[in-house]
Amino acid sequence: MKNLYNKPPLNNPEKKLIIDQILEENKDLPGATMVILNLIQEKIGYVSKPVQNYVAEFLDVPISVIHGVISFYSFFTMDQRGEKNVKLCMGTACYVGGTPQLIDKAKQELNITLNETTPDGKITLEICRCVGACSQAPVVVVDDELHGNLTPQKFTKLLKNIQK
Amino acid sequence: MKKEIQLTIDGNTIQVPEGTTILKAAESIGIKIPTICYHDYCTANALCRICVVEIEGSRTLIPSCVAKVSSDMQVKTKSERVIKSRKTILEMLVSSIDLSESPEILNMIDEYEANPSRFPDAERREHAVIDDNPMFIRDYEKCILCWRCVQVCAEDAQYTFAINFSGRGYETQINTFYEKPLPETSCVFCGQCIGVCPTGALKPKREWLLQDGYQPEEIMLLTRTQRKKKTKSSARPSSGGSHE
Repeated sequence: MKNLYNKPPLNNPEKKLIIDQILEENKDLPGATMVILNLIQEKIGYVSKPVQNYVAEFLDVPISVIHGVISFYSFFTMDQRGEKNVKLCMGTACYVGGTPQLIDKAKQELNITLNETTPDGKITLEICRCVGACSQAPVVVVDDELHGNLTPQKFTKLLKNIQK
Repeated sequence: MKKEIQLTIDGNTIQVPEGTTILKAAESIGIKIPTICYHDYCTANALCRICVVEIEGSRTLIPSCVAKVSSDMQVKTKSERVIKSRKTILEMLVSSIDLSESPEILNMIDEYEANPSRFPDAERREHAVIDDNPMFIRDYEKCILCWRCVQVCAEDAQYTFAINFSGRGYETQINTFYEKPLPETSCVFCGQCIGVCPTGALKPKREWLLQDGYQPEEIMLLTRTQRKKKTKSSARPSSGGSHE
């Protein structure tokens, strides 16, 4: 348990405080695991193995269960991501609407593949499941911002804007 | 005393105590409903759906291992719709998983006249055998994700929580947390998971070596490292890439 504190993000007092607050505020909720992991992902940006251990210990939930939840939902990430998280929707409508072409474009523009971060730490490329905006397919979600009706050209512009 | 419920199963009207599952009610009059993921000593989860039955007035087929009886229920355990659905389940299972060591399921395939090559394009589950401890091996090519090993590892028996589901959809697999080798997890090598595995995905190491052609005396003479090396180099006909 002790050596967890030496590893990021728990070795950062500010971040640890945020995590502790999340745990303390939500520990009595029914289904607290999900709520807490969600908040940690949102506020810290990722749920690392030490954090999973920490949460497991605090909530008295088996680590295998936490890992199961984390690996099930594509929303959770186990490593630190770039400043901007670019998620390409691979739901049926977006897939048909041209997400594969957008992925090719992004790979080419950024010189990284899926689930990788650009060397400058700015952009992480990911795919996600349906975000519920099928009428605007194909859709790309940048952090919390939704961009719809994209073409490879428009998407290139968008990436350039983010990189600035 | 519990209230008695009257229902009809395949034309036989019977009375069973309230709270009985349809599966058990049918069993009590000798009607056998096939099951795969169900185990008498595990919590029923209705995962495999092979035990579905048709109930008059119900839109969908009902998994009999979890559904409780209610009064005047009209249950059909062998209707055309039920048979068709079971057949499809079996065909899908056999299309992607190595069932060569699951005699019960193979018998079902024969019994329901399921066509093992109905889905020839199905992507097969291909995993290398995990041989990371001296007690048993894990061969997830044969795993049908029935959940029994996870259940006995958790609240149904052992409370060790060493294994659970990981991933999602096609990538779903039974695994330890962070895919750690078993000795590094909370596993206590109780062997309960092997006891409930219906397909030979989990198997004692010794059984595995014997199937590999080793003689009992030979196994005793092997050191741990040798055992690892030998099993890796020897050609095992039933593992890795023998399909497709």
